Amino acid sequence: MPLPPQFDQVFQLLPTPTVLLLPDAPKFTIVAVNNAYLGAVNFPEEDLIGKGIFEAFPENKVSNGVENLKNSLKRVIVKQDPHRMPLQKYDIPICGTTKFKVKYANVQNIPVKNANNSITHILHSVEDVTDKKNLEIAFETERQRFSDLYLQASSCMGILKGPNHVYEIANPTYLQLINKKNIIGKSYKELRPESAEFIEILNQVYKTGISFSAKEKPVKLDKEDNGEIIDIYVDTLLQPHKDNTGKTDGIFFFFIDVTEKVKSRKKIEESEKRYRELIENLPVATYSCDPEGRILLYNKAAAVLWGKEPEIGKDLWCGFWSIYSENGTPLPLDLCPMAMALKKGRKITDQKIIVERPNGDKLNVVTYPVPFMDSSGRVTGAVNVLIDITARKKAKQILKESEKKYRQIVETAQEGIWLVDEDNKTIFVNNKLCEILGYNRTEMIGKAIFTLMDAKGKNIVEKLLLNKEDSYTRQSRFKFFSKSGKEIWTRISANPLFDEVGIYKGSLAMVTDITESKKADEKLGKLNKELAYQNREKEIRAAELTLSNKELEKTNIELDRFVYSVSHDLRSPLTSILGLVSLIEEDSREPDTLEQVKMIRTSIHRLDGFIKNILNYSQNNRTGLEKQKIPIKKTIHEIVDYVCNIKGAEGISFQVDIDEKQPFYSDWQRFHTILENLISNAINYHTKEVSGRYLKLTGTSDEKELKLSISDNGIGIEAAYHAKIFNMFYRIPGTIAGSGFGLYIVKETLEKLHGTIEIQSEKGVGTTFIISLKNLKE
Amino acid sequence: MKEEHSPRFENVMIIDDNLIDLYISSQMIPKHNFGKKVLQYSSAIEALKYLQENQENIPRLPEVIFVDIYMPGMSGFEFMKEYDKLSTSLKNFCKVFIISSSLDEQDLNCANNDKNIVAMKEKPITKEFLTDLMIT
Repeated sequence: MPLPPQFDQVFQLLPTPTVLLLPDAPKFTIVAVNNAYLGAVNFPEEDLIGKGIFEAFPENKVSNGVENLKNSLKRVIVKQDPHRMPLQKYDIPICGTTKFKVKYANVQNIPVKNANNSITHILHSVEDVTDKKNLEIAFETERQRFSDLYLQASSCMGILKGPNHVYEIANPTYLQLINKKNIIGKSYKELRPESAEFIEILNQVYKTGISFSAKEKPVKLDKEDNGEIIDIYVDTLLQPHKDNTGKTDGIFFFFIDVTEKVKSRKKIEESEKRYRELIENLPVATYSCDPEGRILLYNKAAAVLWGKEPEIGKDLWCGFWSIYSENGTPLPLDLCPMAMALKKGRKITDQKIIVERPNGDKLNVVTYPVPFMDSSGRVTGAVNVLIDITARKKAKQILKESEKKYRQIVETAQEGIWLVDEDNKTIFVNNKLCEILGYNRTEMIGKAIFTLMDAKGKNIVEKLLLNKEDSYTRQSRFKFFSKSGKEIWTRISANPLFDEVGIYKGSLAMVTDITESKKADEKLGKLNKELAYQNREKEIRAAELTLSNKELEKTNIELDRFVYSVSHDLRSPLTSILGLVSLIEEDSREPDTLEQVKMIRTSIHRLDGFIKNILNYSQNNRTGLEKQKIPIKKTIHEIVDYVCNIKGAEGISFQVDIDEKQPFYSDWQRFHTILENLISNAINYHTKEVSGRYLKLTGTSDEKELKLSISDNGIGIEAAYHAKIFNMFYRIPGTIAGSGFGLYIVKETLEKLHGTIEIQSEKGVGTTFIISLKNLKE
Repeated sequence: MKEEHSPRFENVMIIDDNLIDLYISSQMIPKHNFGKKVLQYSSAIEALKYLQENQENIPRLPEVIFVDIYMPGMSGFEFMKEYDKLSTSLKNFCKVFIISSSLDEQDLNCANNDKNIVAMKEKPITKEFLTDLMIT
C-alpha cells in the first residue's frame, strides 16, 4: 500500500531513524527507509528495500537484539498497540567489513492501521542513544572508581569541617590508622589531643587557605588510647576546602602511613652506618667499587696494603700499581679479580695474585670480590677483600721445605718410625718400619698395634700406654710378628704425644730391628762357647804338641846323634880296612893279591862315599849356614883333583871355565858337597869309551848369584826320569849301582843355600846340570 | 922300604882305642921313616899319664902326637883339655894332630879353636899324609 506523498515527506524528515515494515511475519519486509536511518546504518537504500528486516540485519553474537525485536513486532501485531522496547544494544555491521559497532538505541514499534482497524504497516523507529549511554557508563565507572579509591585506598583521606576541624568524612584506612570508630562529627582536638603540633598546622591551613604537604612527617599517636604515645610517619597533604564564595570552610586531608618504610630505612641506614664502621675498622683490607670499577670506599687496612690512599671515584679496581698471576706473568688490570667479578656479575673466591706496590714491593694476595646486584640482576657494585698471604706463603714454603727435610730424614732413617693415634691405630710409618715388619704402607695405616704382637707383648704395651701422663721414653727389647709371621726382635724407644692442651693424642715409637744382631749374638755366644771349647782343646793339643815337640826334638837330636854315631862307627872300621889295605899293597909282591886288594879298596871307597853322604845329609839338616867367601875356581880344581883319582876318571878331559865377576859368598862345606857329588856322578856315569870324553864346568858369578853348568857327554838320562832323579834313594833301573842318595843330597843342600838345579839330558848324548846359587854376600 | 933315610922324628905318639888303627899307624910310621919310635896308647888317660910323667924329660917326649877323638874313658878333646895344663916346654915341643874316621863341623870347630892342635886328619893315616907332615 503506497504511502501518501505527504506522509512520505514527513517520514523522510523524521529525525529518528525509522523504517516501515510490512506485518508479514516472520519476514517483516522493509518497504521504506528514512534518511536518518540510512545515515545511522550506513547502507544504500536499495540494499534494504524489499528485504526482510532480519534478512538485512542478521543475528550477531554480541546481542540478542534480533530475538527481542521479533518478540516486539509479534506483540505489536497481536496487541495492535505500539510497543516501546527497553534500551537495546545493537551490533551494527560496519559496511565493507565483518566487524560490528555497538549501538544503544530506544526502539518503538508502532502499528499503522487502516480504516477497518487492521494493521497495514509497522513503523519501526530506532532512537540512537549510544552517546548518552556511554556518558552514563563513564560516570558510573568514575563513581565506582572514586568509591573504591575512597573506601579501599591505602592512603587515608577525609574532610575536616570548620575552624575546630570536625570530622565530616574519613575513610576506613584512616580509621584503621588512628584505631578509632564513629569519629564523624567529632573534632580533631577531641579525638587526637596528643597531636597538638599537628593541630597548629591545621589551624594554619584553615587560616591561610594555603595547602600543606610534608614527607614522612612524624606524628604522635596514642593508638591504644592508653596514654602510650607512639611516633608514626606520614606523608601528609592538607588541602583547604572552599565554599562557593571561595572562603575556606574545611580541610581535605590525605595521609599515607610510611612508618614501616621510615623505620626500615632507618634500620638500613643504621646498619649501613655500622657496616661502614665495621669495614673501616676491619683489620682486613676491604673496599668497594661502583659498577664501572671506581673505588668508592676503602678501609685503613686496604690503604696500608696498597701502600697508598686511592682517589675515591677515580682509581680503578684493584688499587695496585700492577698485578701478576700466581705464576708471575703480568696480568692486565682490567682482568683483575675485582674487574672480573663486576664484569661477570658473580663472586670470585680465593683467587691468588701477586701485586706490586708503588715502591716496588711484591706481595702475594688472595682476593674475594663479591658483586652487588639489584632486584633486576644488574650489577650495582662490588666489595672486595684482600688478604696478604705473603708471610703465610713464605712460612708455608719454609714449612714445606722443613717438612720435606724431615720427611727425608724420616724416610732415610735406619730406624723404623711409628706414629699411632690415641686408639693405638697406626697413622704414620716410614719405609724402614714397613721393611722391618714386612707390610706395605697402605697395609700399615690404620692397623692396630696389638695385631702385630702376641698376648705377652700386648700386656707389656698396654701397661706402658697406661702411663700417658709422663713421657715413657725408654728402650726395651720387644718382639713383633711380621706379615709372614716371622718373629721380629726390636729395640723400641717410645714417647707419648700430647696436643697443645695436653690431651693424649697417641705415641711415637722408634723401632730398631735387632733380629739379626740378636741372632748374631746368639750365634756369637754359641761360637764363643765352641771357640772356648776349641781353645781348651787347642791348649791341650798345644801342651801335647809341646810335649811331642820336645820329644821330637829329643828324637831328632837322638836321631842325628844316632846317624852320626852310626856313620862314624861304620866309617871307623872302613878306615881301618883301608889302612890295612895300604899295608898289604905296600908289602905284597903278589900280582893277584894286589889286584884283589885294589878291588877291596874300590868297594871300600864306595861304601865310604855313601857313609860320607849320610853324614853330609845329617850335617846339612843339623847345622846353620856358615857364610864365607868361596874361591870358586880353586874349590873346583881341588874337587877335580880329588875325583881324578876315582876309577874311571882316566882319559876324561876336564875343562873348567869360571868367570868370577864378583866375589861369591856361600857355605863352603855345602858348596863343596854339591860340586863333589855332581862331578863324581859325571865321572861315575860316563861312557865306557875312552876317547873324546869330557867334563865341562862353566860358570859366572855376579853380585846376585853364581850360575854353574856341569856338562858331560856321558850316558845321559831319559827324560822320563828327569823328575825322579832328585828323590831320595831313587835309582834309575838297570844302571850302575849307586846309593840313590847323591842327587837328593844335592837338591836338599841347594835348597839350604837358596839355590836351584835343572837338568838337560838325553840318553846316549850327555847330561848338563845347571845350578844357580844365591850370592849370600850381605 | 927306604932304609937309607933316617926317620924324621924320634918319638911319635899314637892315641887310638881302635887297636887295628893303632897297629896300622905303628906300621906306617916307621915304614915311611916318619918316626923312629912309636908310642902306642889305646887310652888317652894312659897317654896323658906318660906325658905328665915326662913333661920335663924332653928326650922321652914325642915330637908328634896323633889323637883319635872318640875313645872310651877320655875322648880326644878331653885329652886336649888336660894336655893344655902340661908344661909349656912340652907344648912347644909336641905337635898334636887330631885324627878321626869322621870329621864333623863341631869337631872341626873344636880343633880350630885349640891352639895346641896343629891340624885334623881323616883316617886312615896314609903315606901321603905322613910325607906332607915330614916336609913341613
